[in-house]
Amino acid sequence: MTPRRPPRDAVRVPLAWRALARLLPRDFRARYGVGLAQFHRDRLAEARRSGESRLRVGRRVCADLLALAVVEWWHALAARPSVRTVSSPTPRLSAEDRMSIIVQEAAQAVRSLRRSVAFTGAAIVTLALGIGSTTAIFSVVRSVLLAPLPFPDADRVVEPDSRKIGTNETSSVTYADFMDWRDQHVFSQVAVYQPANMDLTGPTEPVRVSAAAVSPQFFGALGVRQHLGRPLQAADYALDAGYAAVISDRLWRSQFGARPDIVGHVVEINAIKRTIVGVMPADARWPIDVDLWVPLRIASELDPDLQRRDNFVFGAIARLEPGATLASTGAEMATLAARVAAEHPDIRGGVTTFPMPVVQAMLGSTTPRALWLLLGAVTLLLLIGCVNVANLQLARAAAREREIAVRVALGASRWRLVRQSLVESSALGLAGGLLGIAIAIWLVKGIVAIAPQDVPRIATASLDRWALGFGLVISMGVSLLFGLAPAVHAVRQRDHLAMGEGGARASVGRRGARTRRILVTVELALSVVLLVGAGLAVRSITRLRRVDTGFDRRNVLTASISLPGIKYDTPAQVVAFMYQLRDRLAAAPGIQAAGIASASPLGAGGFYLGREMVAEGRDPSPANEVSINWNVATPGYFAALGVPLMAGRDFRLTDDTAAPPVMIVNQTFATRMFGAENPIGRRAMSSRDEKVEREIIGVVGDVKYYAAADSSRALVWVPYAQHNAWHQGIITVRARGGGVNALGVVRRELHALDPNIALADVVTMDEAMSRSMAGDSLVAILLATFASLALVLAAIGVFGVLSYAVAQRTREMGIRLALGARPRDVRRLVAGETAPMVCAGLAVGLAVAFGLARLARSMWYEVGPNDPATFVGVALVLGVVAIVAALVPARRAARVDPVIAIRNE
Amino acid sequence: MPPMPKSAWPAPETLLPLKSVDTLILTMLAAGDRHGYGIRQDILAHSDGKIELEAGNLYRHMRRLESKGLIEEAPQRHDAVDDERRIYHRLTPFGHRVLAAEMLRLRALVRLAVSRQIIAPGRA
Repeated sequence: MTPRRPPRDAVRVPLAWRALARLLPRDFRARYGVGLAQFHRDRLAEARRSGESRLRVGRRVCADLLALAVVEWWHALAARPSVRTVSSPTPRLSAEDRMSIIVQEAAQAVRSLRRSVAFTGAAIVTLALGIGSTTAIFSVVRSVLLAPLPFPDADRVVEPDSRKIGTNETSSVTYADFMDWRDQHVFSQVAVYQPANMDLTGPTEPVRVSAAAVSPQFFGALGVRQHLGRPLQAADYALDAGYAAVISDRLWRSQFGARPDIVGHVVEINAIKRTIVGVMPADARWPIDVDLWVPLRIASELDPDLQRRDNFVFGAIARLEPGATLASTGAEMATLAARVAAEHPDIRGGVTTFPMPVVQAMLGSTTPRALWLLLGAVTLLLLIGCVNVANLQLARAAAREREIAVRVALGASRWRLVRQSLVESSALGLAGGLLGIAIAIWLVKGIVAIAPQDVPRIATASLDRWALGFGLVISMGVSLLFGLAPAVHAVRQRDHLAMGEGGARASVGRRGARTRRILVTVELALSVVLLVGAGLAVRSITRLRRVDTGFDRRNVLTASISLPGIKYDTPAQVVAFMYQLRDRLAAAPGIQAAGIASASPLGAGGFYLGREMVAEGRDPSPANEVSINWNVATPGYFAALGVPLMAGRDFRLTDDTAAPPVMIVNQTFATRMFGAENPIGRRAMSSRDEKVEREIIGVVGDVKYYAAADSSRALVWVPYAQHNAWHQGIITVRARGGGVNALGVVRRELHALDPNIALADVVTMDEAMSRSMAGDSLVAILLATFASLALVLAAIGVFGVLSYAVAQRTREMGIRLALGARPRDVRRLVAGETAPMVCAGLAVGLAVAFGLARLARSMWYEVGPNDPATFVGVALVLGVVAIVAALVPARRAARVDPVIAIRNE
Repeated sequence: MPPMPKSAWPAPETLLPLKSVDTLILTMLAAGDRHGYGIRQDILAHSDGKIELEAGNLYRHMRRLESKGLIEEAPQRHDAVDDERRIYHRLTPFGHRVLAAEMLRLRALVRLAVSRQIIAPGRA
């Protein structure tokens, strides 16, 4: 009878199931494979009849098969006898037996590792360096980039920003835009804030604290909760309510001794009495890291300053509406911004607004890029370490061929040999991992200590349980990686022996040697990649250190002050104070020059305004506008900073509201605005804001404004006396040198004028310079360290392979020498072994490095991705190192005594 | 597995207690020979659809039961429903004794539960 089969389409078992079934041990498949397939056909047919979802069936069956494969393999491997030749029924091993075998093997591995101290030591140190560096960088990456943000549903928190369409130039937002978002419910909560520095009157000296004036939904949008007292409430915003303040955990601890009864305490801040109503938790450091939050009190939202659509001076923070996405909210914002642009084409043409995700707003783009780069670098180092250890193990395996032969003769199975090799690798990996974690703890501390302070969350970096787990997992992972080569080698040798091949030793040895050569070539290539990366970083930082900042940094000290608006509420009062302070400082003993300006170069502090300027006689269209940074300064500022006056004159005391409006510009501005024409005496105006024609009275040299790596920027300074009450300033003094206590002088003169004003952000220009390069320096230092380690490892690799080759060919060398070869010829022979490895390693490495460097080119300062000096330098360094590493084995070969060599065999 | 002399089988009690899946499989096979999928359906029907064995889980237990000599392969035959030729499994006499021993153990346990008034005595 022919069996009737069900329709074919009803019984096709998915490929994935069949593939999974192939994973099962052969014995099991032979016994149950058919039944399994029948079962699955029935199972599918039933699922189709009952309407069970395909996804559910697929998931269940795949998980089931995977579990079966694991269990059956465990069973098959554990049950397999280690001695195959005995023909008695297979003995079943109990769990205890299995355990004792594992213990026995581990003990055997440790014994065998202890016998070769040099090998074990080298392997453990190599691994520890690789694992340690990788774990350390990983824990920094995790703390800075990957750790969850301290807000509930942090992925729904965004920073609304303005952007020039078609560019990456972003800026803060206007209050008018904020009102649109709030009133049209673009977000579930949205708030604006303004940073400010405030002076907290302390018991002896006032303390400058960074503060933020925030609008009502600020804490709600972030979702942070105070840990004492209450947040700011609607009542705090009423104009007739008492003044309230929320303080940071840091301020609470440093200024108030963490007293639990702080809520309700009244303090004097900027000459106003404020009641402390709450204390924020320590991680509330975003969007701005401040110590004081006060209500942003708005007398009337009809205030023209708040209604203006070009007053981009408010930071914003928002939480997405439930159900809204980043894209849908972005579209809403863009629509509103387009409407504003249509209504105010003169000031808002080409400007849009968008929500920036909190992670991006918080981390920027430089930090993640640098960290991923470093993680890539340490991964390379780890790989190089693995290759090296694999190489060492191969060399050792070659030396242990006799031991393996004995074990095979006693009936060791393939699996047994592999297992022993892997147990040894794991023991090495674990030891390397433990030492590596110790190195990582130390390394993370070092990185945190020298990392730039402005890297968000860097201070939280430590070896947490994630990093620990990561370290252990990669230890085990690399054990398998470098354990593979010796395991394969052992099996291959076994098979040769099993087949009774007499020449086993020679052929295995030859193949082992080839594997080792390939490994060293790979290692050399990896080192080249790391060396090129480090070379580019070092070249970049050297350029940066030598960069002309445009002013004389020596003996310049800066410190910031901020005059309380309550006490200094008219422009005249502010100007009088600033000019008086400047005069006192300039006249003080030990001070060569002094000045005050709104912002310091090299990003050393202060504020500036981003504005557009148009030359006199041209219409204010975007084509004619030059984007500038608008600063305020007193007379004497440029002399104090050491910026050369290229043409014209400095500000004078008489450049005040009664005199014609003037400004000093830098060379970049002059060139962009007037080309080669003489700018002195020409006029230009801030086309969207001030709209006052100002005469250019002086041109100063360009300075690096944001950081040492900054590109040229058009800058404008106007005198304090011609600007509407600018309460804040950076005192800049040039000391005569020779150990003058410039800070003491500044403090004395300031407090002689007003003892209640705090001095903050004291920094010398040399410090500002190194601070602005701290990130690049750190990356360069780390990359150079990793690359040096890689180079040493590569050298060890070359040395190891050649030493082994020489040892293997001692007899040949002896014969050659006996037949009249000169030692030089033998040396050349050994050198000839090195050349192909080095050349191949260099070629591959340089090609890969070239590709990778192009990807990372934005990280280097004025160094191209194909910087010839770096590439040639790396090739030379590697060549020299390889030659040195080859030297010792070559000399050893040349010194072989023919008689001994030939007799030995 | 080659048949072993009777004296080679261990006493049924040494295999107790059985795993619950083993007990289920043996119980189903006690009612007659089944193919793999039939066992699944039988278990499904007797557990109100709660115990859904997949193939891997089932054959893993079958392999163990077979290696202990509790079940064995029956001659292949055609399924009554779709008439396809399938592999059938059946209980060995030893398997029968082990299953009976397990049931006695369970009955003693149930009696204990009744006497301690954890459950009411069953009507059957």
